[in-house]
Formats: sequence, C-alpha cells, structure tokens
Amino acid sequence: MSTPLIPIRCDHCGFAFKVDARHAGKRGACPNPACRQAYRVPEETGVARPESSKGVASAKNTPFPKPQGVPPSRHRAIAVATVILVGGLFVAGVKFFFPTSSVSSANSESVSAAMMSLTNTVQASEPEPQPVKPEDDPRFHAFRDTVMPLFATYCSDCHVGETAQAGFEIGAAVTIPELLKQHRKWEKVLTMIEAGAMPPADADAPLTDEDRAMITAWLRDALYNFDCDEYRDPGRVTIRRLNRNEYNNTIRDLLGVDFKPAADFPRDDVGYGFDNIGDVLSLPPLLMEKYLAAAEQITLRAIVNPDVQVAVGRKFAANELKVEGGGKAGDSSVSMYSNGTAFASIPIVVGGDYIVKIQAWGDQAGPDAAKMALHVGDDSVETFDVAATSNAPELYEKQVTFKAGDVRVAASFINDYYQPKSDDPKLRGDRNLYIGTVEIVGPLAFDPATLPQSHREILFVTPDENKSADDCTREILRRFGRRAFRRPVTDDDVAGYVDLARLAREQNETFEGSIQIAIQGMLVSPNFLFRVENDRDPHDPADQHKLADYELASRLSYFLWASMPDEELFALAEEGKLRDAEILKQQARRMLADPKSQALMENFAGQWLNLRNLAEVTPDTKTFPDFSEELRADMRRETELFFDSVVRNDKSILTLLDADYTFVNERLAAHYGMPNVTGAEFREVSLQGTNRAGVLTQASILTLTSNSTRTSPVKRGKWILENILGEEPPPPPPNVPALDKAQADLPDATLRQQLEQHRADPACAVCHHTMDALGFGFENFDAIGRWRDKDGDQAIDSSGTLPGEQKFQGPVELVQLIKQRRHDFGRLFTEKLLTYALGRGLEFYDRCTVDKIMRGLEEHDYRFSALLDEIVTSDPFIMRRGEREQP
Amino acid sequence: MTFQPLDRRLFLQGMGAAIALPWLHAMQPRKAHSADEAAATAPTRLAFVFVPNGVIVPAWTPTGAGTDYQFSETLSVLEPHRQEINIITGLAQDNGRPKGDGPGDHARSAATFLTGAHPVKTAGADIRVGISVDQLAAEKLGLITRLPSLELGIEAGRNAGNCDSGYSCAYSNAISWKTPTTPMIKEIYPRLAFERLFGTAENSEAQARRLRNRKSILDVVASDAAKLQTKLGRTDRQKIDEYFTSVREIENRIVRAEKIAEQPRPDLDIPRGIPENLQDHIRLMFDLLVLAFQTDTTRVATFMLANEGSNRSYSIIDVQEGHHELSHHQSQEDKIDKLKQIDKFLATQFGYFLDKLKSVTEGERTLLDNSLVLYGSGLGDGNAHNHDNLPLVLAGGGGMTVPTGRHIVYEKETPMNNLFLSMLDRAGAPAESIGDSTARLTELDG
Repeated sequence: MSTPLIPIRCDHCGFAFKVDARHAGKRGACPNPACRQAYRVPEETGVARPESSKGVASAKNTPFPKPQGVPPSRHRAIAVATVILVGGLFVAGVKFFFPTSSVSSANSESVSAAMMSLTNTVQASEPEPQPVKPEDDPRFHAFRDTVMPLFATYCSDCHVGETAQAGFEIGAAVTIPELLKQHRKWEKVLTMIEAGAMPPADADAPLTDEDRAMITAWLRDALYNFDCDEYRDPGRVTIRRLNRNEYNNTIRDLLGVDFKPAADFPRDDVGYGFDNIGDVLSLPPLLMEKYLAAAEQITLRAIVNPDVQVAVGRKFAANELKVEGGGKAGDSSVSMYSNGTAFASIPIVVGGDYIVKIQAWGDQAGPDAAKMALHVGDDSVETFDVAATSNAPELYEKQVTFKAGDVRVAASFINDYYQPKSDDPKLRGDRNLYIGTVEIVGPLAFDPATLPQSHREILFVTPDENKSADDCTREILRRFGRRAFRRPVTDDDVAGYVDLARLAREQNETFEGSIQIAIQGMLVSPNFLFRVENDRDPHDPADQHKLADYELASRLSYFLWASMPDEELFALAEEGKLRDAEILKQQARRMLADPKSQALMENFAGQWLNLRNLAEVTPDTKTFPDFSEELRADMRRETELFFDSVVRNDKSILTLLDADYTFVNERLAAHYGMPNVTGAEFREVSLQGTNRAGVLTQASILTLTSNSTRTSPVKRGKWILENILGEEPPPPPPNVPALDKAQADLPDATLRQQLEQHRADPACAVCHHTMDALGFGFENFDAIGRWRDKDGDQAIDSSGTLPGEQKFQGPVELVQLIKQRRHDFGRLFTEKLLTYALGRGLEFYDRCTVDKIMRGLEEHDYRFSALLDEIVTSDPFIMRRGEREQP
Repeated sequence: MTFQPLDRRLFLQGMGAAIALPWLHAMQPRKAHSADEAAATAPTRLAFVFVPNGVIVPAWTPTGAGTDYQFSETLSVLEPHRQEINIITGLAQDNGRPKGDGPGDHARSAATFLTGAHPVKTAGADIRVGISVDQLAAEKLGLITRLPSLELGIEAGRNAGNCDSGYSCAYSNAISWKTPTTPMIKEIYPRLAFERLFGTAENSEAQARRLRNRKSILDVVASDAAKLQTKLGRTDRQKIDEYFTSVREIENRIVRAEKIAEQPRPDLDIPRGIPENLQDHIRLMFDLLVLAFQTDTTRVATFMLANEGSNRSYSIIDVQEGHHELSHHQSQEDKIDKLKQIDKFLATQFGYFLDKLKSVTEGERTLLDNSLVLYGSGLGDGNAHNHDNLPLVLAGGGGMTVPTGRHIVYEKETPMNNLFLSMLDRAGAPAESIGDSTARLTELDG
C-alpha cells in the first residue's frame, strides 16, 4: 500500500519535488544538489520551511568566508548579524566564520536565501508545482525591479552602449537562464562588486553598503541556485590537440620509440591551470612544421628502409670530418701537423659487421711510418702504419662490429715527429698525417631479427606473388590506423595514405620506404593530432549523448596516462563494454596501478601545485649558497613521490595537507636538518615530532612561493588560498599605495609589521588579513624551505589568527586549521582534477557534477579512488552534446 | 653580387668566452629572383625587439629633443650609433590600460605592444587581441621570401598557472599575432632557428625528395581534415581551420622553396641546446636575425629578449634578484640601480645587433640603412605599469626614408600604432589603419 506524496517546493531554491507522506513532520535536505538546504516536511500539503539557520552548503565555497552581502570593508567578528533595510525588503544575514563544526564551512543562512523567502511567491496551496516560465520567475522580477535600477544608478557611467567598458554592458534585465548562459561575465561582476573593486573608488556615486549587499546577494542566488535537472548538461569538450607530453607518450606507446620527439616543440599554452585544454591548444604554422619533421624522425626510427638505412655506404669527405687536436680540415684532406683526431658520426640502424676504409697518407720522417689509430666509439680497434705518401694515398681497411645507434668512427695521428734541425739527415724532418676520406660500408650480413620491434609489428605483411603492394599497404595501414587514430578505420579512411605509399613506390621508393611515408602522413593527420569525438548532431546543443566506446577509451587513457589507450582498452571498446560503469571504474583502477599513471603525477600534480614553475625560480646564490640544481630536482621529486604515495595507496586526499611522512634523500634530509639519511635515493621518512607536516611544508612549495632573496608571506598566503582552499582572491583595487610607504614610515620594522601597516586600509585588509596570516604561519621556513627561528637578527613570529578567532602557533598548528577546511579543499581538488580530466574549463552547470562527486568523496573518507570512480562515471566524462551554430 | 663559398667550416662547439658567429662577408643576399627585382633597390627589413618589464624612465630618457640632445645614462651604450637611431618618447599603447579589466598590466603590455588592441581577459577559451604589425607586414613582404616572418625569443613560455592576474600566458609569451586569435610561437633554440631558416644539412637531392614527400603528405592530410570538418561543431571547426591555415602556409613555403633558386646554406655549426651564458644566447639570436635579413630569407622579424613579466635573474651582470620582482622596486636605490643595469645590459646587446647590421654592406648602403628596427618595452615604468611614454628606439634608415640622429618627442598619448602605420609605409606594406591608429607620424620624415 502506498502512501500519498506531498508536493513540496523548496523555499530556498524553488525546486519542486514530492515526498512520501509518511515522512510528514520530519526533516530532510532539499534534493537540489545546488541547494541542499534543510527543510521540514509539512504535516499537510504546503511549502517547506527552512529548518534552521545552519545551512548545509554555502552557495559558493568560500574559505574563511567573506560576509556575503556585507561590504568587504566591514570588520569581521565571530558572528556578524546584519539587518539591512533595502527598498522595503527586509534582508537578514547571520555569519559564522571558520566554524569548528566538521560538517562544513558554510555560512549560516545566506542573505540570498533570506531575500528569496521574501521575494519568492509562496504557493502554499498549489498541489503540483509547474515549472516557472523565466519571465514569471520571481527572481527575474527582483532583478528587473530592484537590482537593475541599482546597476543603472551606479554603473551606467561606464557600462552603457557601444563604449561599455570591459565588455560589460548594462542592458535590459535578463532572465535567469540567460544570465546563467553568461555566467562567467556575471561571476566577474559579482567578484568585482563584492570585493569593492567596482564601482571604482573615484566613482561619482559611491555604492552604499546596503545596495552592494542587495546586488551581490541577488547575483549569488541567481548564479548558484538552480535546478540541476533543468540545467542538466554534460558540456562539450572542444576537440583537443595532443599536447607535448601527450604527443611524446603517444608516440612511445604507438611505435615503441622513446626519444621524446616533442622536446623541440613550443610549449603549449595553459588554460584554467592546465596545458591540456582544447580551447586553448592552438596549432600555428611553426608547430605544423615541427610535426612534419618529427614524423620523419619517428618513422626513420620505427621502420627500417633496408635500401637507405640498413646498407650503409657513407663516404665522408675531408671537409665533412670533425677534428680535435692538431688537425685542420681542408677540402681534400684533414692535415694533421701534430697529434690529433678526425672523426665522423654515423647512424647505424642494425648492428653487425661493417668495413671502415680510410684513405690516408703521410709526410714521412724519422724512424717510423706515420701511425694512425682507429677508434670505434671508445674502443681502439686497430693501429695502422701509414707508409703511403701524397703521390699514392692508400686505403686502410678494417672490419669492425657496430652496434645499432650513432657510432663515432675516429682516426688519430698518434706519433707526431718534428726534428727540423736534427744533425742526422735520417732523423731530420717533419712527420704529418693526412686523411682524405672515411668510408663506412656494410653490414656484411643482415639479420631481419635485428630489425626494431616496431618495424616487425608494423610491416607484418610484405608483398609477394600472392599479395600486391597496395593490398599489403592497406592491411598495414588499417592495423596501424586503428591505434594511431584510436578508433576502427575503414579502407576509405586509409585510401589517401595507400595512394601516398603508391606514389612513393612509383618514384622508386622501396616498400619499406613507402610505408614510412604513409605513416608520416598519418602522424600529421588531424585524426592523429587531435582527439576527435563525434556528435550525433554537432549543431544541436540539446542533443546530449553518450560517447562512443573508443572515445571513452581515449578519455580514460589521456586522463590517467596522458597517452593512447592500450590493447585492453581497445579490446573492451571493441566489445562495447567500456560504457558499463563498473568496467569503467575497474579500468581506471587498473590504469592507476600501471606505471604509466606517472603522467598524472607529472602533469596534474605538476600543474595543480605549480611544481613546473619550480624550474624557473632563481634563489639568490649569494643569500642561499647551498641551493643547487640537484636540490631543486630533489625538491620536486619529494612532492611528486608524496603525491604519488597518496594516489597509489588510495589514501585520503586530506593526507596531502597534513601527512606525517614524506620522502627524502640525503641531500634533502640535510636541507631539512634530518639526521641519518644517507645516499642519493629517496625513501619514506616519518615526520612525527618534527615541525613539518604535509605538502605545505615541503621545500618545493615553500621555494616556489618565495622571492629570490627572501620569503613572501603574501605569495604563500595567496598560493594557499588559490591552490588549497579554492578562493581566487580578487585583484587588488587600483592605485594601491606601494609597500614602500609602509617601509618609509617604519624603516626598522619587521616585514610583518610593515605589512600590517600596509593593510591598515580596510580595502586591502579584506583579503590580506587572511592571506597574510596564512603566509606568516610558514615564516619559519626560509625562501628555500629550511627551518629557521630568526630572520636576520629578528625572531620569527609564526603565530596568527584566522577569521573566527582561530589562533595558531606555527606551521603545524596552522596546517591542522587548514585541514579543517576539508570541504573547501575537497571541492578545489575535485574541480581541478575534473578540469584536467575533461580538458575544458568548468561551466556553471558542472556545479551539479562537482556536488555529486563531493558527496561520493565525503562518503568514502576523501579517498582518491572515490574521486576517481566519481569522475570517470560522471556525465561530463562519459557524455557530450552538440553546439549551437551561432555563438 | 657574387656568392663566394666559404672555404672552411666554422666550429662553434668550444663554448668559450663568446660563441657569436664569426661574421660572414661571403654571405651575401641570394641572387635576385628576377631581373625586375635585381633592378629594384634592396628591400626594407622590419624588426621589433621587445624588452620586458618597462625601464627606469629617468635613466632612459634623453635630455633635449631633435638632433641636439644628450644621451641618457641607460642609452649611452648606444652613443656609437647616434647617427643611425632615433630615440622616441611620448608614444602610448592605450589599450594596455585596464579599461575596466583590473590588474594584468604586464600581460596587456606585451599583448598590445605590436597590436594596439585590447586583449580579452581570459585564462583560456577566448584568447583574442589583434593582428600585430609584423604579421601585417609579413602578409605583403613575406610573399617572396622563404619565411614570411621570423619569431625569436630567449625564454620558453611559462606553463603552469596564470601568467598575470587571469590573463592566459599566451599574452605574456608572444608579441606577434598572426590573427587576433593565433599568437606566433617564438623559437628560443638557436640551432632550431637556424634550421628553420636554412634547413638541415642534407644534400639537395635528399632535400628535394623530402619537400616532395611533404607536399604529398600535406595534400592527403588536408583532405582528411576536410572530411573531418563536415562532422564537427562550430568550435571544433575553428580548431581544424587553424590546422588548414598551417598546412597551407607550409605548402606555400614548400612551393616557394622549390621556386627560389637553391640557396647556399651557411656552413655554420650552431650548438644544440641553449647557451648557458645569457649574453651568448642573445647575441647568437641577433646573429641569426642578421643572417636571415642578409640572405633575404625573411624581411620581418620579432625578438623577445624575455617574456613579459619575466623574473629571470641577470647573474651575468651580478643581478641575482628576479627582473620582475626588482621592477617593483619600492623606490629603493639598490633595486633601481640593478634595474638600470639590466636596462643597460639589454641596450648593449641591441647595440651589438646594430653593429652587425651595419657591418653588412648592400651596394652603397648597409643592411642597417635598409632596416627599421624598433627596440623597446610595452610598459613605461615597470613599477608604475604605465602604458604611455613608452621607451622606444627606432634604428635604421628604412632605406633612407627616415632621417636619423634625433630624439623625437611626441605629444602625450600619441598612439604607438601611428608609428607602425608609418613604418609599414616605408617598408612597402602600407595599411589603412592598425589597431587604434589615428594617423601617420609625419615627424618621422624629419
């Protein structure tokens, strides 16, 4: 027997839903993931009432939350209650900062919510709420009637008409869906107004606190409270060019040649913090040129063209030889008037026996003939007596064994003789050696087994009486094409490349050579260089659909390996199994365990934590004579190993913040003042009882957030806000007085005191209060991450207070306070990893996915595997949609 | 003009004190492509050399104006070139100002430097500024040279995080923009720049075969791309359009390379990797630039002495602090001194470039006479982040169209793009307008 359902409309977000009547009188959370406000199920049909002033989730994650709707310059307290009267509306906001509650950092009831409860039309008697038309949405009315007039008053001086500044134009009121479509623009408006950066300080009409609160509260509500069902959208990833790392890794896995062909490529541009963002990756002509050259180099290594490459018949003329020591290269000979070496390097594709022929002669003098030593690589293989003279140069030959690779062949003059004034005419004279040419031929025998594996795998058929060259080419390219294009390929797909190979053969290229050229072509094809994902209807944004299995295989592999799928993924895709959520998760775990997932650490962690920037930091060598390139590399390695230990051992990601262990080698241990670590190899060490804990106390982060001669507490604080807590501090307002004013006023003060003076201006204090407190908490670590108790002769004070009267003494206590912000950190980490996994910036609708992932993460104690499971099965990861033709 | 092959190889691996290229008097411009061209005078070359982070303005600005002026402390290193340069003050890149976009003056200063357009503040998706003056020039002057333009630099781009206050790193790492949305990536490895200009060492038969293969390959992949286009949505198509543009550009280059009579490849052994010594690196790049102009391999070039906002330390002149960090000097004397040293060091390198340009004779003139080389920064004072009164030096006579030896002081707020219009006129690539230009600069005529 089923009980009746009670229709409910959430008072916070307007979300309509039904609840089983047996829950009447009980409490629940709004099912709208963007809202999640508590409500009580009414005894009878009606409207859910807000449960209490303790919200579940803030509308936007704010670390040390800023008072929403409260002007930034207002001084903070543990709890600020504001009662603002605006245009007849009663708006209340109650704030708690840094709550000790472990549930969340949330603000209590938000201004927006309170405002909503007043502006929203209560529809208590409506049993089946219908979706509201945008024009009838009470929030739209509030915008049109209350917020727009404020924009008109305060912003129209600069933001009207064609000359509107910063692309922000005050026009007609927009409906909520229209506003969400332009969410980036409106988020910027919100940030600027909230931070007090807009309207500018010199505006004619300063924005009153009340009006500022009204605008920001409304914007916040409009931007962050929406119905995830109504706005369900997997988004659309722009076609992604392989970036440098992906190119190197893909070539390695596709062809088994590991020589990092992309090392010369220009660096890829970064968007949203990562260099794998489809929108940002461009393809200028310079890069195309590099792709062509790289493809040539790659195929030369992967496939051996026996005519050209195996059989070496290379003759170096004298002026092609390089000279070391007492020789001079001319057009017809290298003349060695004193001991010296003439040499050449030659690439040997297959190892084996070769013959080296050296044309040489000498100016003979003294008792011995000129001696010429032949070296192959570092090995001396023969010493010739060169008795020939310039009238009749001779060839000196030797059979030698070469290994595959670049081989250096060197001929040296080793018995220089110079006695021009000797009394004995037999001994008088000048002995010199001349080298005319160096020729290398071979190999004498050729064993196909010595061909590279890539060659044997690609050329699995060769033409004979039964099979034409075209047919073989087609078979070869179809097999290769499936892996190169990461999807099944048809005859039609490879037809152009089969033609290319035929054309080459017609121009007297060998079969192998023709395959080299065809594969060069495939390696510069857009199907290889770009990760193509097809739409059912590329022009219909409403057409949301699941990705094809092969496309999903690439999403997984480029996410976790920054490379192409392996055979197992291809096979699963072929069988159509990859879209099964369980298999997706299994595969993700398998891939994470594979060494190739090292790429995640290098690329994701390297960029999220800005580790890549460590390479460009230049600690002053005078201030820090101990800093070295080796130490720089160690610093990075520590953080990489540390991140890796959390990910691979499936620990809570919160471990990153306060782990009581790390990885060091002898050099780094000495840097940290840790005893008993010897040797260059890294090992895990305990940090218990030390003054370090987690990534924030690692030398890598401490160094890359410092200036070259001193620490920068502001940089460190800003780095933590941005990269750990997920708050991008708004830009400083224009015309900030420089720190020098504070320095001039307080020449003998500590940096801390100067900064305190500097941020006395309330407009600065709003952000710097938290930023500087965070930074100063790590002042015990110098600009290269060493512990110190004093800076110069001034004692370090690393105590501080975070908003909410959260006091701390030193870095370890501060780390614990930061860890309490687990929800914010989890969210930041989720957003970063999702951005990296998708290769696109997050949109407003992704909020729903992030919320869902966060729930999964919290249910599983923040384990990395939970994050991974949630991401690889999330809508944006497994789906895509079309796109409107007109922007 | 006759070409005399060099009779010896030049080895530069010994990384001694300096590895600058020995000068190659034998390397004369390639023979003219046709009788008509032979009759014409030597072409005008355009180069733009970018200095990051502004300068110490008082130490930079000369006293007096016109031909009767006193060299400033910083520019005194260019005194030997007094008769070949004009020092220009007063020009502005107004679009570098925030215009409501908040901080990010560094990114904007590089983005506007040669475009005069206001960059879209974005970390990613919608990068857009404007076509730069060098690329406008290359559209016309680049049609008959092997490379339409050459982009050189010293620092690779940063590739983690933001470069400046929410601006994509593309804005700070490039000054040359082929289209408003496509920055031209610069080459920082001397060896690769050289190979770009002159190809790799291989015999002409192998090279011809390689070009032929490349052409066939480009045909096939272009048709692959065309097939792909039909299945894609709007944004994806834009990306594939970029692919097409690049394919076409390389095809044109191959066609040109085949048409242009085979050019002797300068027989130089350029070191692999980046020279450890910064001065060596800069000078080697300048040498290559001169070589590119001298051989008429290209007529348009840009060179970034560092990326905008660069925080490199100039330990070569004993400045250990990062450049950007120093530029916020808080009026501290020692920091200002160090900045002056950096300004002077970079100007000295520019002087070296002018020496080299001058040492190449082209008929009655020198290569410098036939060039217009703009040197300067997109910021005035690096501490104040101002976008007006930009520190600029215009060297060379532009084929005797610009009287030199002057300090030209423009009225405040004169758009720098007006200078570009005048430069384009003199280089034979006139434009109606560019970015925020309002008029041509008649003062250039003297």
